[in-house]
Amino acid sequence: MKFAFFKGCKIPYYLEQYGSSTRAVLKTFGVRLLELDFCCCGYPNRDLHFESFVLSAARNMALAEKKNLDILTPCKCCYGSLKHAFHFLHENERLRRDINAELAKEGLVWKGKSTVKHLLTVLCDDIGLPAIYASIVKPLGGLSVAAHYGCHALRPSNIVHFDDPLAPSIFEDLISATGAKPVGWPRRLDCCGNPLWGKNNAISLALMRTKIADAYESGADCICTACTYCQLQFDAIQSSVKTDNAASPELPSILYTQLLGLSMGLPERLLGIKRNIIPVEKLKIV
Amino acid sequence: MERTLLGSTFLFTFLFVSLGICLAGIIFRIARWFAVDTGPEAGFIPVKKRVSAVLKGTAAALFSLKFLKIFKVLFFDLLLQSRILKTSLSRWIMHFSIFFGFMMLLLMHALDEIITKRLFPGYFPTLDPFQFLRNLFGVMVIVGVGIAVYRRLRYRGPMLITRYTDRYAVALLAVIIVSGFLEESSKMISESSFNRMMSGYFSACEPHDETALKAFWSREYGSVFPTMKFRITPELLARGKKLSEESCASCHADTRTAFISYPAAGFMKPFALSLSKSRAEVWLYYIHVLACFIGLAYLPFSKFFHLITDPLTLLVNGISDKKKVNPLTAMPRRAMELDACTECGTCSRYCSVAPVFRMLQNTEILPMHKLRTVKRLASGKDMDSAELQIISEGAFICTTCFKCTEVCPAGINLQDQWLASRELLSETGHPLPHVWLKKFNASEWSDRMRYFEASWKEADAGKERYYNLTDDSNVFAPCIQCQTCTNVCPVVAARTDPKDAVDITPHKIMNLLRLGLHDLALGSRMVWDCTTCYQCQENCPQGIKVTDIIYELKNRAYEHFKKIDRTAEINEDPC
Amino acid sequence: MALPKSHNYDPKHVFDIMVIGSGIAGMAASLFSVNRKLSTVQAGSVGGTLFASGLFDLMAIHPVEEKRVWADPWEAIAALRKQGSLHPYARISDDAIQSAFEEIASFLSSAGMAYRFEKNRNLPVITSMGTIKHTYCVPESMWHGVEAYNEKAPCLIIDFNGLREFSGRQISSTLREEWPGLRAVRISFPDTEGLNEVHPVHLAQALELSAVRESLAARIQPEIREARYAGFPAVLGIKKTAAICAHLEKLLGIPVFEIPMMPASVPGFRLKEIFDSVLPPKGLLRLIDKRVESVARLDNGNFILNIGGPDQEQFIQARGVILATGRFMGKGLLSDRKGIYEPLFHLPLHQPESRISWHHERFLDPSGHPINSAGVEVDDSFRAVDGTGKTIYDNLFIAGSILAHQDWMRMKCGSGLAIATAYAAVNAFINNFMNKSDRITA
Ligand SMILES: Cc1cc2nc3c(=O)[nH]c(=O)nc-3n(C[C@H](O)[C@H](O)[C@H](O)COP(=O)(O)OP(=O)(O)OC[C@H]3O[C@@H](n4cnc5c(N)ncnc54)[C@H](O)[C@@H]3O)c2cc1C
Repeated sequence: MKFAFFKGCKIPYYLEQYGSSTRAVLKTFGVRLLELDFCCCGYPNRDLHFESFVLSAARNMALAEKKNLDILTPCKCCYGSLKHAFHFLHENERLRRDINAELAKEGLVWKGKSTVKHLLTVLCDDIGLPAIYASIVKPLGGLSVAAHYGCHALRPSNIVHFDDPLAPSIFEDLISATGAKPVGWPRRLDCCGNPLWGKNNAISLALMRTKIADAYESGADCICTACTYCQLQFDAIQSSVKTDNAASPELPSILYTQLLGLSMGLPERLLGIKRNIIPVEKLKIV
Repeated sequence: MERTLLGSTFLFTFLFVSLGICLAGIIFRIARWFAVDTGPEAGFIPVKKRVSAVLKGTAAALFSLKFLKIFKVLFFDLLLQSRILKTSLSRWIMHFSIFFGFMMLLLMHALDEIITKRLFPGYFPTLDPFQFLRNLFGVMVIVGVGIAVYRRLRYRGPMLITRYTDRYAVALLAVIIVSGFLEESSKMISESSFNRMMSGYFSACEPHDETALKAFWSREYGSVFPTMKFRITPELLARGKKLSEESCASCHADTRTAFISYPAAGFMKPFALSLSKSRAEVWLYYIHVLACFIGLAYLPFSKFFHLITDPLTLLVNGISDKKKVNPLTAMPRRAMELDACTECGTCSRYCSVAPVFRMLQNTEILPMHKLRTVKRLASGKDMDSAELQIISEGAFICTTCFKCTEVCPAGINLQDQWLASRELLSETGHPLPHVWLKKFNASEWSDRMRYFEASWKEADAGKERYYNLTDDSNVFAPCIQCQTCTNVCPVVAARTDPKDAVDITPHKIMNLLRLGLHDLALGSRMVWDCTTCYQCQENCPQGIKVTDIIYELKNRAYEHFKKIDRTAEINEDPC
Repeated sequence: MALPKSHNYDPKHVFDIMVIGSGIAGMAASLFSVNRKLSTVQAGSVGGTLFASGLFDLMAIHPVEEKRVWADPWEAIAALRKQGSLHPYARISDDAIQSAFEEIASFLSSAGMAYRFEKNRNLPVITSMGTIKHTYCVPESMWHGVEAYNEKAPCLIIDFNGLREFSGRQISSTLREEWPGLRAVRISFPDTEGLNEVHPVHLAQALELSAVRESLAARIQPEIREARYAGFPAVLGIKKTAAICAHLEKLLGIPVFEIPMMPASVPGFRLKEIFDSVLPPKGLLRLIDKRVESVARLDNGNFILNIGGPDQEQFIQARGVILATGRFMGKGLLSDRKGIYEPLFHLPLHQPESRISWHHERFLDPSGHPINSAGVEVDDSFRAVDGTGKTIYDNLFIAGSILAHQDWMRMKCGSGLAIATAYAAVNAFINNFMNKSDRITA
């Protein structure tokens, strides 16, 4: 199995451990990842200018197409962005023509041949749960985990095709495989607040804190994410605004690839466990 | 040597003046690194502290056990220029040729008295391998310069701009190398030079010896004797060869190993007499040497300054963690980096948001341009609000993906430059759109839109859009105002200060659209505080694309609002 | 491209049944199908469930012209039958209706949303406008309200600043004569001070945190005084209402209950949430937000349904179809200049002769309008029939409000009709089609 690995803009500087842990985990399943000359997925700019968002996304998909590869991304915002652009290019012929004219200047063309997949889908469907179960050497029994789904992979379902948008189960299925126990929590499908970070921090934090309080009250030991932005929100940002307020407890957040990697017995260094700002050591799984 | 005979005081004066200018220039520029303010005000520290922090940092680095790191930087990044190789082979060939050729010429040739002679006691510039190597290094520089010129012509555009500094640098290099070659060639064919050498180092035993030597040199080494006529016989040549071996060979290798100058001399032969008469070789020598001196004096003020800044930058950033910036040394480091940029364009070539630039055509999106702007900001240039607005657009479109930092051949910590300049822009009233948009509320924006209609209407007219959700009643007409969108909206639900609360909830936005009042929605908090979580769209019982509509409203608002003067007072017509 | 998740969905699979529509009727039909181990697929957007008050009406008013309210719903249904009405209830036995309700209620209760009903009695429920609505089956969270009303016990209604859809004062003033012990108080919901508007779902979500409940209870505590019950707008949580009610009762020391509200109503969200999250694990393939665009029938009688999506169409094959697409709001029925039509199967409809006779002259005519009884006519197996009473397809069953000869809104039989007809349709599919058809075994 081989994919074009679309890391997105934030991993190299802000979340290296997501890149390294994804590589480490996928490598053990024989998945090969190729990094192309990708640019931004377009998501951050969709707020301001539709066409430049589509061009950015189309360029990435065209690069993968040229290499005959499907795209794998660990980031849900990148995933959503690429899927949306796919949809717009697919349904709007004039847009497709104009974007392709622009891409042609670089010798690229978007035909819609490459599929965009999120890491979790590849793990669950392409690699398959049985293989994942078989790879576990250190089951994380006793750990209660709140699966945070992430909006942009889940909705709008008719465009992103990720899982049932109202009752998804893919993340819990994958967490169960590690031996940890996924907890039910009312806010599991809600936004982490990161899209508003830097734009309206008060709302961004309010959304984050509501989720954390809910996960905490539902008995979770930690939150588990599979998205660059969500993890940044629950780790770096949560820790940067730490208060001593007992009403807003601190909950560590772990990347799914770290959780899986630990249960597979992969070395901590590859998983970048120490790079998490809110230490996950106290979960006693390390 | 005959050269020093010719106005040696003049040359020495020139050299020392040049050296003086060069040193003063370097000191001046380095001093400025400590004086200019870069980045946000919050990070400002007094100049004295900057100096002491840098000194301490340097000492710490030197005494730490970072030798391996330092060696790595010196060997790979500096000597082999691996950072350039990583991004482009052709650029590496270009740069490495110039760098290596020039450095070797400098060390082996220009500083021969100081270096080469000491290393190789038998050194003579006209001996091999020095003669050959000089030509080789000269060719390397010429080839590199040629590639550079070709690249600049071929890839002209916002990704690679050519400024005067680039032209001067290239021209100066070309003058130095070409004049060097020509001087060498002209000397080969110069009769007067030959005669002078002969009178100095040759004494004839037999009457025909002079002729024999000249015959041999003119046949084998390209010398030209326009005033002399002789018949060349094998005996004469054999004698000349013997004489040459006795008297000349200890200092003169076969001129043909000067594989550029020798053929060049061939071309010059027809003009040998006049060249020799006008003492061209001396003038060319002057041109060559003076060009070098001028280059020396110009160095701190030219692109060549990167010979100093780039190694320093590579070293400093090579041994420190780019992700953990030391706030005490940040300002001088940034200032140094601003001098280290040669505008090679690698950053822009790898920029993650280059496609956005292609659509918006705002060069301030591209890192190379941005860094120049940062430099202008640091130098305290006054910029008007419109210009800052454009700069801010570019600064915030950047996704801080770290790519430019990773590829910068000079090792500049661009990431830190961007983060710092963004903070500075926010401080000076030019934050990211989501923030400056909140300067007015929805109805104030709508007033402003009406007031400044001329600024955006024209550009708007006749624009063919790919989607037009906000104007297409089929899209939002099915809304039954059931409020599901509002009820599932996490932003409306978020408990924050009531004065920041969402003004127009999603279902009301749908209603405004139905009433044809979407101008009133453009500047609303709901639109700009939308997290794009798609709950509304997913849950709408009528299948209305609520989030996509909000996205489109943001696009429209941004497009219009950025053309509207945010600073002007408006006096609404009371009627 | 794959269908929206289904780790193991095989596009070549032939489903036993496809349910078209995801209103109450569609959801009930899907539940009954998966409970009977039929392989089931369902399409349709959110539908009217979101707007449901959470109350399940069986039958309260008949005849509509007289607005006669029945204390015993079964008597009302018996009266229908006696008069030879063509109302769908006339084709189902009381036992079947009862079993349908029990099956739904037990499902909802196991999913955390318990219901209460009394065998032969409609229950009086206070509405957010202060009127009394008679309904058959109420969520547990509303039950104490029925008790309080019956006892006319001293009761405090809590109203929240900014909650537009609910007015405690209106409730108490409307019911003052009948129920003098009713008192309303308006407070600010925790952390909403200063907001002009608050929305029911957001309050419900907030109450899922115990800290919020504690701070709310602290605000209510001083107002309780003589009250023996506390009535809230129906915002007591979405996913753990029972626990929230219990916690509030502990904090306040008196029983609490919810008062149903106008849409968008939280109990509607609860129902939707349960249907959405509990049915798929039971084996239902939900095609969320997909519409059936067109239908074709194979030679073997199986239906091929074209499922529309923005990027790609998909096809589903099913042995039988339950059509529960509702009336006009759900777009099960459409109208043009010539009249009403059913867009998927183009079924013949019972409808007024011409557009002019759709409505009576007075808009608020108590007897309703003929258009409100339009719809698909069926046989006793709930299969669509044509004008002559002939069954159109032996494997097409109809359920819910798309059925003719009922005016659920006025008769107060909406959910009951949806549930009972879905039950009848699924059972008919099994008994009258699947068990008989040799196509299945072939
Ligand atoms: C305002 C309001 C108040 C209510 N209050 C009460 C109450 O107090 N008590 C009570 O018992 N009930 C109440 N109800 C609920 C009511 O009983 C039910 O909504 C009604 O019975 C209709 O149910 P239904 O499932 O037949 O149709 P609908 O709820 O209309 O559902 C139709 C479904 O079919 C889908 N559909 C249509 N065409 C297609 C297609 N081509 N492909 C796929 N899917 C399609 C639609 O998307 C929708 O999901 C209320 C409903 C509303 C709207």
